[in-house]
Amino acid sequence: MRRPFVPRKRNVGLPHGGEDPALGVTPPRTHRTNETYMLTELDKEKNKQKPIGADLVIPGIAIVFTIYYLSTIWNLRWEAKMNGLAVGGVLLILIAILLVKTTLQVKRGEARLSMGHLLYPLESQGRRFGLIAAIVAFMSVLPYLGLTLAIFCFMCSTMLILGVRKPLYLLVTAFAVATGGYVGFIVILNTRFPHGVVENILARIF
Amino acid sequence: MGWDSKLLLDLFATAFGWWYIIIPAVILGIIVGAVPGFNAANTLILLLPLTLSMKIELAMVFMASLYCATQLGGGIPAILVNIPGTGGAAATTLDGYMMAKKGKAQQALVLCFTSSVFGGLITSVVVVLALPYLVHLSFYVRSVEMVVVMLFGLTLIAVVAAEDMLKGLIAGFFGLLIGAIGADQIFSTPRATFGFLELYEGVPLVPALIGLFAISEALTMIDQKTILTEEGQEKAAKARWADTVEGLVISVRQWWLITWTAFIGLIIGIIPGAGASIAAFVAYQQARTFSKTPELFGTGIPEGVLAPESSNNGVTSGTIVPLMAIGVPGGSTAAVMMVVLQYQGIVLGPRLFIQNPHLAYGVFVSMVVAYIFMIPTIIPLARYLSRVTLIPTQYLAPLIIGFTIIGSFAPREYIFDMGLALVFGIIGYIARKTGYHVTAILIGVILGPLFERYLMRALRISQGNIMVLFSSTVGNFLWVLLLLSLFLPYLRQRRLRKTRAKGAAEPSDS
Repeated sequence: MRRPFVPRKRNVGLPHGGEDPALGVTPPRTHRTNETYMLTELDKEKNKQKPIGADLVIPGIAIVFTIYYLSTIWNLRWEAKMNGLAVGGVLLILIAILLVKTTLQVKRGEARLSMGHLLYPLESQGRRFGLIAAIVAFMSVLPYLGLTLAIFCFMCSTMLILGVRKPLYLLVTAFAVATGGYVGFIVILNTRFPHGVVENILARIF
Repeated sequence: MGWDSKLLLDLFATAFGWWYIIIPAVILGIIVGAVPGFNAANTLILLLPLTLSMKIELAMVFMASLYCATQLGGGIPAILVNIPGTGGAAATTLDGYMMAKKGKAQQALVLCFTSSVFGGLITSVVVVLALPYLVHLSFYVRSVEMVVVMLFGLTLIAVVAAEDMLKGLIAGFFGLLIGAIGADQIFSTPRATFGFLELYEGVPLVPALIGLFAISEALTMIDQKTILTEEGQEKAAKARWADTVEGLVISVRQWWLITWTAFIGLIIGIIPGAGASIAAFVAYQQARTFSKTPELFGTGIPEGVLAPESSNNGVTSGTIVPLMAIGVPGGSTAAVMMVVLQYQGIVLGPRLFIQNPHLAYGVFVSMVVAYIFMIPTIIPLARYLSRVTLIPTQYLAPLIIGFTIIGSFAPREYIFDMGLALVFGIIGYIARKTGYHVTAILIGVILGPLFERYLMRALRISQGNIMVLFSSTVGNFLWVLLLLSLFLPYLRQRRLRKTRAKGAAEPSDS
């Protein structure tokens, strides 16, 4: 990381009564402490600025979707495109106002374009992506494994991702959900969930 | 269309005698309402073989009781895990979930149950007494007024739900545009379907609801060990029967709030097309406006639970009024009831009240009786239901995702809908983290097709003249209310800022 430029004057009168090392006087602390102090000051300055970069993600998605929506209705009769034009138009105006507001906040130094609160706490991101991957995997294997086995595997994998390590708790919870899913959705409601090995065996027994 | 006291007493006696129909319907309704993805309409569709084979009076009692109970049940997951069981419970999440986080889930549930029961009870009694006059309300609202009602509802949600009104409006209009995906209603030309046939009929509401609320909440909650705050954990662990009693006492003290917000629900329910979701937000906003402590709304206060729950139960009796009196269903559940009535050869309209008063008034009387049966059935359960908040998120998040992702498949039976729920879940997660309230997006998605239908009807009648939207007195009055609801919070905030600045400047002056 590049060290930020800090004017000399700022080092005069540092905490613990220290003086500038450049003047030849040994300060009562290490250079590392001095650097940390300087960074902390800058961090404080930065912390005063609201991180609003992440606030532009939803408007970004909305702009892309609006443009796509308008492209699909452009050649239709007015009855089919009136609603899209009206709602899409208002949406684009609202986003334009937000962009102007954001630009002014950044210019005034009140905010910065950082993704801040969307990405943090970082330690949860891995688990979050793990959960999303587990949902995608569940949908992919559902036609082959059938509902009961797929939901059992899904529950086991997601609980493992989130840190459950006790095999008894893990298996009992997954078994209860799989049983609930089978009884509720296949036996009682008779929904057309894909059938797998478990459903076929149970159908022969009962 | 008149009634006499003898008939009324007879109807009550008959309805109490049908306890064996009402109690199972109430229990089923509460369960159905609490499970996101299921609602009264789709459950009644599933149960059509049963209701069509029943005697029509019994079938109506069963359907009306189940419908009332679903509105109450929808508030349970809204409070416990921030996932509204039905669209009408979306406003309950604002304060109900905050109360649960503070360890007051039991009290919040009791408030939800009592306000639902008393709100529904009061409006059902009023409907029985004033039915002939209430019907006229629905004659004043046509497509022009409905367009303004929809925009008014969306604006209120933006103002109420989001910290930043501009973000709330962006979320609402984004939802409205998502709701406009699918074939247009006149030429059936597909719009913005991304090439998926599954989106041809529009965005299905159940995957949208599950994604925006359940999956996004599960993705958010894994940051913490439990959904409770530290203080909340201590309180929730010590929950006693006294908390249930305290909830009941608060409800009794707030009887006036419950009463007038229930009437908001009743009036909105009578208007065909407007629903419990709009009614609950209007009631929440009005309760905040007339509160002595409006700044506390959204932080977990009883009034924030009482107002929307009372209102969404007021809607239930309201939606059946136009069905029975003029043959126009006020919502999807009323439409299913209409199918059953027509199957049995019942001609709906004013004559029904003269020819078959037992059936016409009997529906509303059975709703009153259903609400009475709900009190002993559900209130004692609050203490045990509130324990859900103590489950660690490493178990709760997979449970929520597991059950709801299966639920998103159930209504249309497409695996595609599960993927759609995941997409909405990711959008919902980003929205939650960046202050774009998911409720505003969801209400936009719900209102999208309705808004287009009424807008097109108004424009076709006027041959494309946009000024038709400003052509009615009721509509113009609603436009003024809409503008006021946009500017009043802004002016109030500005005045508050000025007062604060003045307050900060005064000590330094002295």
